[in-house]
Order: sequence, then C-alpha cells, then structure tokens
Amino acid sequence: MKIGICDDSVNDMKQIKETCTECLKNECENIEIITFSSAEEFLESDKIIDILILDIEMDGMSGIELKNYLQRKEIKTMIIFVTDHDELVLSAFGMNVFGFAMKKMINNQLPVILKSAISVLNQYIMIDGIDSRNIIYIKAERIYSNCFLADGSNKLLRTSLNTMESKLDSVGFIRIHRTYLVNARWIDRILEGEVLIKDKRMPVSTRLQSSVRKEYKEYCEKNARYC
Amino acid sequence: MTVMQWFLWFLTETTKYILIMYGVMGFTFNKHKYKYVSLLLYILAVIPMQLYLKDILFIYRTLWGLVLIISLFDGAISKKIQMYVVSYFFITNIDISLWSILINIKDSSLTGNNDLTVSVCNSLGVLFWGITTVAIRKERLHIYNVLTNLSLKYYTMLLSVLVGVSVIVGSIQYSLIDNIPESLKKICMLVGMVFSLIIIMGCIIYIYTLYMKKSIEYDYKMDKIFYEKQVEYYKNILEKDEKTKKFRHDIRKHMRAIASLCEEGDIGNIKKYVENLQEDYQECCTIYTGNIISDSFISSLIENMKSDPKFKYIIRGKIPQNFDMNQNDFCVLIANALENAEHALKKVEGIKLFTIDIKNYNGYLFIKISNSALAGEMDNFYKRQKEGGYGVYNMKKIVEKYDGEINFSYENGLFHTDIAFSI
Repeated sequence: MKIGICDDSVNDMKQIKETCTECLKNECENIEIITFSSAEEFLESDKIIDILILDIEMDGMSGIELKNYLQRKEIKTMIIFVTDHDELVLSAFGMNVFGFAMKKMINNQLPVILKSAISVLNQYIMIDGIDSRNIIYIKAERIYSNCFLADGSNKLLRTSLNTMESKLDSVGFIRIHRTYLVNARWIDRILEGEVLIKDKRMPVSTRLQSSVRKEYKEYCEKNARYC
Repeated sequence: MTVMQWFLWFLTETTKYILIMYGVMGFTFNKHKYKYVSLLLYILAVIPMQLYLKDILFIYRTLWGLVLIISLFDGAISKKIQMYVVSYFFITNIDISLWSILINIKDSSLTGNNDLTVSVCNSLGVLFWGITTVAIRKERLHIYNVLTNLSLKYYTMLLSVLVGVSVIVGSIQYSLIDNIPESLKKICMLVGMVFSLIIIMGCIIYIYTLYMKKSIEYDYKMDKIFYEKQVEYYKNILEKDEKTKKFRHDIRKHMRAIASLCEEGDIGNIKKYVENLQEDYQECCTIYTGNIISDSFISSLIENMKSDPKFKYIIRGKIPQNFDMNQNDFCVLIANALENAEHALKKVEGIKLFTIDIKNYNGYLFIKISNSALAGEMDNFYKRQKEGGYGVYNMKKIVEKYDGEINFSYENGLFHTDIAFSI
C-alpha cells in the first residue's frame, strides 16, 4: 500500500511523516510512504497512491483544487486533509475525502483516521480471480453461485452459497435470503423486507430481517468516514 | 380447588400480570438467577395452604401478583409495589366487567359464579391484555416513563379512580347475582360500564396532558440551554477574533523581541518566548465539527474543563453537510451525552480524557463519546437510569425515532456512549 503526504511546509511534512511512521510501525502490511512538496509534484508523479494526506493550503494548486481534479478524473485515491484552519473544511468535503486532521492536533487525530482508512481499503479478497469489491450480489443456483458484477457481467462459480458466505463474511457480505448473498458496499437502502441495490429490489427473508439490519449497521460503522 | 383449577389459575393470572407489567407498563425483566427459586417456593407453598389454611387462600392468591412482579421485573421495590397495586385493580376491574357481560348472555351455560364462567373470564382477560399489549407496544417506554415518574399526589389520584371504578363494577356484579329483573340488570350494567369507561378515559387523558406539559417544559429548557451555549460559543469566537487582531497588531513588536533574543543567542529564552506566543494564540477554544449545536456544547464542555491541567481532549471527524436532524432532537441528544460526560470527568482524580469520534456512512451517523470515569460510574449510571433518569430515556426515544440505537459501556477507565442513527 502506498501512502502519500502532500504538504509545502517542510516542518509539517516531517511531523506528518513521523506520525505516520510511528502509527504504522506495527502494521504487518508493506506500507510505503511517499512525500510530495506540492500538488503539481503529485500530479507529475506516475505513482498510484492509495491514501493521500493532503494539506488544504498550499502555494500554487491548493489541496481542495487537487481533490476536485482527482474527483473529476475519477481517481479513487482516498484523501485525508490536514489543515491549520478548521473553517476551510467546509469547502473540502467530497467523494474521496475520508477525514480531516488539524495540524496542531496531528498526533491525536491522524493515527486513528489513517488506520481506519487502511482498514477500509483492505476490506476485500480475491475469489477465483474476482475482486470481492466488484461483486454486487451472489445468487445460489443449485450447486453453483452466480456472481453479478459491477460492470454488468456475471460469473458462475462451482461453489455453494454457504461456502461463499463463509469466505466473504469478513469483507462485508450479508446473507439476506436462502438464495442471495449481497455485498454491503453496494447497498443503497434497507427497506421493509427488501434491500435496494442499484435500483434493484432484493428480497430479505422474514427470519433474517433484524440480523440484516444489524449486520449492515455494523458494516457501516466499520467503514464510516470521518466527514 | 383441584390441581387442574390451580394450574389454570396460575397460568392465566401469571400471563395477565406479565402482559400488563411488560407489555403495557414497559417494565423489563431482571437478570437475577434467584427469581425462579422464589417463584417456585411460593408455588409450592400452595400445598400446605390448600391442606391446612383454606380460609386464607384468598390472601395467597392476592399476593401472587406481588411476588411475581418483585421476582421477575427490574426496578426499585417501591415502584414495583406501587405498580402491583395498579395492575391488581386493572386486572380485577377487567375480569369483573367481562364476567358481568358473560353472565348476561342468554341461553348459555355461563350463567353464574361457576368454574366454567371463571375460567372463560380469565382466558378472555388474557386475550384483552394481549390485544392491549399489541395495540400500545410502541408506547410502552412512554408509559413506563410516565408511571415511574408519577408523584405521590398523582399516584394517589390514579389509585382513587381505580378504587372508585372497582366499587362501581363490584356493585354491578353484586346486583347481577341477586334476583332482580333482567332489564334492570342490563341497564345497571351498561350505566356502570359507561361510567367506568369515562372515568378511566378521563384519568388517561389527564395523565397524558400532564406528560405533554412536562415534555414541552423539557423542550423549552433544552432551547434555553442551547441558546445560552450558542451565546457562549459566539462570545468565544469574538474573543478569538479579538485576540487574532491583537496578535496581528503586535506582530512587529514580537518580531523585534525575537530578533533581539536571537542576537543574544539564548535559545532557551527564544523557545520560551515562542511557546508563550503559541499559548496566547491558542488559549481560546472554538471547535468546528460542522454543526452549530455540537460545536456549542463541545466548546462549552472544554471551556468548563480547560482550567484543569489534567484535562485532555480529542475531537475527530465532521458532521456531514446533508445532516438535517431536527434541531431540538439533536440538542437533547448532544446536551445529555455531554452532560453525563462532564459529570463523570469532574469526579475523576487522575488524567481526564475526553474524546469524540464523528463518522458517517451511507446515511448513518455514528457518534462515539468517551470520557474518563470512576470504576463505579457504570453502576451509578444504571442506578440513575432505573430511578427514571429523564435524559437517557429522551436520548433513547430520539435515536429510536431515527432508526438508531444508543449503547453505554465502561472499559479500562473510560465510559463510552455510542450513538448511531440514520440521517
């Protein structure tokens, strides 16, 4: 995983990097920290950054402008803004923004937000060559499991739905029906007896209704962002 | 009474008391293990009573409800005794009313004070309380709060009404047993029933009005608190603004002072000067979470606690822009949660840590408030809750309204309030 720090202040950059290194020293995953002294330098770089710790106020292109640019280009780098001025936060909300940390409280705020962002990004597994994040739902078809993917295609796997459920349980899949297993990240809303996914209504078993709501709330809490 | 009759009596009476206490009055079951032992002992006591003390069996039967309520339900003993008396009168009145109706059914075997009539009455009583429970299931917490917060004056009033109704329905029952004309029996019964119904309805409306008055007063109190906190918050912002202006005005003076300290080359003095400057600049606390209500209340708590050097705080997260919860509801939620936190923080001797994490995901908002608290804080908290703490009740009602939940826990010296609801 690649974590980027983009800040035009050398001292702030140093402090953020130290905070990140300290909080990530016990992470078993291979994490690389890359620094950028301006938004322009970040854009010129060809590295794919998973999480970008971005200063709002910078000379040249500001953090907010960079965030808007990434959003327009549909680049899914997760952004954690750092700032000295809380009042600037209002214009910094956005699709890929995960949270905000005040520079004067960086040691208290950044580690928790960063760890939470890493945990959200790591919530997937590969199953028969398919990234679990791209599966919208799985339907049991006798001894097969039919995976319906985000690009509109589907893939039939010779695995029972129960086996799929046990494999995908930890990455946010919820059993809503005897024949359906859905990916919580694609759920729009939970209705009475139904789950709404991309305008499609999926049935929820009567006996599973309360557990589906509970599991979905747990998923939301685990994946919630700080803004 | 035969064994079968005892069995039927226990079954119907127990069901009625459980339905009225749990389903109507909103009491919750306790988790004590001894509750079944005490109930079993009381049930077994029926054998010697039946054999040797037949004359006072009515006392045994009357007290069954009390034993049942004390053993099974949570809450203060005095409240449980009070509610037993109310339940007893309610059950008795409904039973007698049903009996009065049944024996008026022509050409049936339910014609008098026989076992069949009593059994049918009891079963219909269970049905009545079952239907009542289902009908008012959403209001049971409301009723619990009204009943447990009832002052002695209003409790006595409620009891007087129930005793009055009992006298009326008892008179009807007595008149029906005697040999009086059939037409008079019916008129007597109808008048009595209508009168009882009017009294009970009046009583319910009065208590409800009383509750609404309390609720409006509470809303008004919350509005007033919010207004005061807002004034305090804006005062802080103005103060900070003044300080910023002063800082800008004095910047040349500070630069000159630092320059002369640099010339002297005394690093210690330079460091001290810069630290003092930083302290001056950051002294005034204004919090920005994206919502004026949370900002005002959090800032107020920090202002109240900041003079204590052991106080440390961390605020993480922002409230999303699409947040449009009713202002009063959010105010009640935040004000009560932070009041509990401040209350607990003030009692702690060592480090006083206060943290808030605000997170959201797909229409759900999660607020986790953690504060240092003494080891017994959880017990105190539950004690306050059992004694009818209005704050926690109101918080629960609000999160339920927004399809959410609120949980309280204590771990490693920290008291946690976890609030989750849809926005």
